[in-house]
Amino acid sequence: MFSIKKTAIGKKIVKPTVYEEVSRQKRFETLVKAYSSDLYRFAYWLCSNHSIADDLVQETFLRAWKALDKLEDEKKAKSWLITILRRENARRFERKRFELVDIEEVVVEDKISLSPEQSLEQQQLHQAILALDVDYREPLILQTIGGFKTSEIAKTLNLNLNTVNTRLFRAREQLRHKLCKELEQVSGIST
Amino acid sequence: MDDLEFRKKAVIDPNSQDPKFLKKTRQSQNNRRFVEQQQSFNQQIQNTLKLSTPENLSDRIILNQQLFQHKHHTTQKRHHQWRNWLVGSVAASLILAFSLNLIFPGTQNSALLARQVVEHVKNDTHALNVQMSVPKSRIDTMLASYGGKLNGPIGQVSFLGHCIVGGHTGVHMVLQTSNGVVTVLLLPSQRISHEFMLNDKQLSGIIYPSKKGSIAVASEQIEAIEKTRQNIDQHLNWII
Repeated sequence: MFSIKKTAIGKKIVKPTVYEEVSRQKRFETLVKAYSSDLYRFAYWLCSNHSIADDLVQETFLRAWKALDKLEDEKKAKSWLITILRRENARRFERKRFELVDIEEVVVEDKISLSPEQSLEQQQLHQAILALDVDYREPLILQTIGGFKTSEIAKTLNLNLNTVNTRLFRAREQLRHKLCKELEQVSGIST
Repeated sequence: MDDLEFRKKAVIDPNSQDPKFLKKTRQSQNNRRFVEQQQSFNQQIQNTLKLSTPENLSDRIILNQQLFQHKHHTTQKRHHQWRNWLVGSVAASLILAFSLNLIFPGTQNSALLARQVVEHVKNDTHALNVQMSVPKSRIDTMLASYGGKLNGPIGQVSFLGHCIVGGHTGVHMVLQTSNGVVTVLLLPSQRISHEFMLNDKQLSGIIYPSKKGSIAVASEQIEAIEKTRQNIDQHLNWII
């Protein structure tokens, strides 16, 4: 229950009780724990920059905190947060154009220990994903990182299902094509 | 499902659980192999997309939210002060009392708060009975939500939770020390002017002013109290 206070000029302020504040804080912290990692990955693959990805996630959660009472169904939390993040990303582009990153110069962080061949293939895949057009990259990230169904991706991106299917198909085909080309080049050099 | 539709589906969603797709997959060795190839490629994509994230990301998000909330409350308070001054219908003495209340919002009677702390600790027997080792990351997150930070170990924490004492929220911790079980309550919204001993038949302890609000340390073993207090004072920092 909210306690209603009247100010000196008679305007009513709805003030949450201390119990509501605690439960709101707990709810927020649960969301942060559950989704911050996936949201960070989504942001990184969207903007190709770790520092911007970090800022985007911080901004997203701050907006989520302000609007937490609008989230009625916890099952929709992930797509709700992704919608906020996409809007925030678009807003940043409105504010200022970022410096364009040359995909070829992006250093891929080698966090998992892999064999040299695997590592090379993963780096090539990393570059190939970043080089994908964002229209193809975004549904692929939502499907692979977010675990969204194609119908959910369509809803989140405001596209029809056939368009989403086509984009997912082309994204994978382009990646496969690029990888094959790169591997051919590598084997051509080594022979 | 015809062959073309099947192959397209295998590329678009190789892990699909659609019964028609699964049935078609089982129909021939070729189909099975094709789906396996797509699933393996998908796994490769997934491994690449799953970057490791900054270690303290969630703590920083919560701290950022707390900083925002703190700033927001301060602005709101200033705004209210200004509006109240404009109305000017309140007598000078009332305005003074009101202002003092704004400057020291949580100033409480130490004795009253001490009684509330004792009651809270005695009523919350669950906290004392929980036997788990709370990870440091959870303590960091909880403290960050109140604007606090640990710069060193405080010992084994067997219970950690939010608590409400005297209508204000705080952190309730139970520590397993070499001298016995100790309850620590961090009460960042409860300012007191001076320290006060907790006097009860079962519990001993102290509540004392901190940089932010107050801290209560209580235990059935009197010798555990002072050491825990020193430990907390040494390692707890209030950032906001």
